[in-house]
Amino acid sequence: MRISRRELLKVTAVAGATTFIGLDKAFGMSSMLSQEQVKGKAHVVVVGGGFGGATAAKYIRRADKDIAVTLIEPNEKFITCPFSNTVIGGFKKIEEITFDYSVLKSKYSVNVVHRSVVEIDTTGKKVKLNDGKTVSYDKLVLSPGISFNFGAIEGASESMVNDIPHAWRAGEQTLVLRKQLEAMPDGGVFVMVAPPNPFRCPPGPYERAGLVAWYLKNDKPKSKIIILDAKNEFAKQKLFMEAWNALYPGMIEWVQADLGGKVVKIDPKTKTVETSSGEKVKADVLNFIPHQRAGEIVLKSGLADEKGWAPVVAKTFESTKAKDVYVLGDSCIAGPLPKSGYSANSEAKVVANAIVASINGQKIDDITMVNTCYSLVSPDYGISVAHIVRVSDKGFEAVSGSGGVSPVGMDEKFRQKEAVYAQVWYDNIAADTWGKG
Amino acid sequence: MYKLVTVGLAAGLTVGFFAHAKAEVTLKSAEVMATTCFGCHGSEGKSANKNGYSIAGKPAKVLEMDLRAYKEDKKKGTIMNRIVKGYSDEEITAIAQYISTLK
Ligand SMILES: Cc1cc2nc3c(=O)[nH]c(=O)nc-3n(C[C@H](O)[C@H](O)[C@H](O)COP(=O)(O)OP(=O)(O)OC[C@H]3O[C@@H](n4cnc5c(N)ncnc54)[C@H](O)[C@@H]3O)c2cc1C
Ligand code: HEC
Repeated sequence: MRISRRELLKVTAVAGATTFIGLDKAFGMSSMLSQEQVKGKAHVVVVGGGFGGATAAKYIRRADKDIAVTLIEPNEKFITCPFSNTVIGGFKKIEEITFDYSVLKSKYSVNVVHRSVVEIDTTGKKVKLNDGKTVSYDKLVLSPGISFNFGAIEGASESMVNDIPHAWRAGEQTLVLRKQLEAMPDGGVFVMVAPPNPFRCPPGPYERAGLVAWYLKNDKPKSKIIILDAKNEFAKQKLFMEAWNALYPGMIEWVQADLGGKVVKIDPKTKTVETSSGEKVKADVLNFIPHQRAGEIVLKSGLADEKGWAPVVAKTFESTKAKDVYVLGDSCIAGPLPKSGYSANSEAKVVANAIVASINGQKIDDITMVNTCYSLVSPDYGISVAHIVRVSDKGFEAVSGSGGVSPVGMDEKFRQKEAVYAQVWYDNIAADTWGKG
Repeated sequence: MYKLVTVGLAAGLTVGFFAHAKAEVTLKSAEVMATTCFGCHGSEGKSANKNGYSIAGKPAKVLEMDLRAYKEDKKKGTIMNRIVKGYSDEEITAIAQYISTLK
């Protein structure tokens, strides 16, 4: 559909949008977006349209319609990592976990620009896009997720992912992994290499193992799953083990780091990995999940610490390294909050509040916020962990006596209920983040 | 601009976790806290999935009663007991009040 410039102006006026930045993209003007062009009292640029960024954009607009928000995200569709293991397990379609930005645009008048940010100038307060354009900001929000450190393991490289998908960002690799499992013969070995802490979604690898087991048990019951782990323990371990024993006895072998699980080398050609004890394990399907750190743009902009994650002030998520730059989601260090979609969504609300308060000269109160991670062990078996965290001038504090994992030893009905609630959570958080598009 | 929700707590009775020493919770902070519940209860407190629980617009008294019942384990859920134990009584009152205003 072609709209004339006048019509577009009319539309933005009717929608009550205060931003003209969209015009720049629509009409190919190559100007730098200066403050004068952005109507409204301030311009917030959000980088990344995932759980953290999309939520932050929405909640800033929800709180104050006089603040213009530009969301910069390269992809027109977002495929969620949450529930991507159900696609790998074969009981959901990728379309069911795919969202777009139409509601953010239409209902919240967020100016969505499908580009990526290649450079940040924290002194001049502007970002450079991959098309060469520059966008100025009053406040900058970064929620770019994670990047991968392939270099941590000998032989590993980014170029192997089409054959050895990590599927730790959802999308094409999720489907590749699914197809490889479908093609695997009965009696084959699925090997997963699990990363060291900290990483995106601590229970994620173990959820994946269970849902792959569910598929194999039904379709290829002679097959085996081996998890070679860089850790000696993992999230919801007792619950996962209890469930694996009940649902898939003998099928999943978890090898902890100190007992031969630590992988030091990989041969992509033969899909063979070598552990620190010198043992070689050959896979039919290999899911190598690389070591992780903050999103590339965070690293590149000097916003990360020596371990590769961004330190932030708890109450606001403002970077401790740059003023008016806020880092949230997987990229930041958020105390006891794990790197999850729920954490990113909750953090975004704290960030939105802090930014709106700062722009309007209001004070920022202490907040108690919640994160929950549900994991499915089968389509009808769910378990959960909750974190309730207080953010104040004292930093991040888990509230003692709260949160924690589902009880062990519960009956089938309880697990089934949590599986239903996992889907409820998914539908609700997706609607809260991207709206129903 | 934002009204203070003052909770009738006798001085010296601010028991609980040290992080919760303050007996006053602003409506603004109650709003931010309540919006972090939307991840499970739906945007603006309205569940997008019929198996979930919409909480928007319920009377504050009812919400508060439910939340306290979970906190004191008088009511048993799959997860709410674990969650609501993280909030002070003042926060519960303020959150319930905010959620009751959602349409
Ligand atoms: C298998 C798996 C299962 C999971 N299950 C769950 C679950 O059940 N529950 C849960 O809560 N969490 C789960 N997670 C974790 C969850 O996916 C992440 O924690 C969450 O996505 C983090 O949000 P974010 O905003 O930090 O990053 P993302 O959601 O990854 O969003 C980052 C966005 O930034 C964009 N971006 C990156 N760089 C740039 C740039 N330079 N310029 C512009 N845009 C950029 C990317 O394109 C991307 O869209 C799971 C993860 C995995 C891998
Ligand atoms: C992880 C998901 C999750 C989060 C987070 C969550 N809830 Fe709940 N809530 C539930 C579930 C599930 C139930 C049903 C009881 C159960 O199984 O625990 C419930 C029940 C309730 C009820 C009772 C509803 C009814 O009609 O009986 C209220 C009120 C409530 N929650 C409020 C809140 C508030 C306020 C917050 C934030 C502080 C919150 N919830 C956070 C999942 C969640």
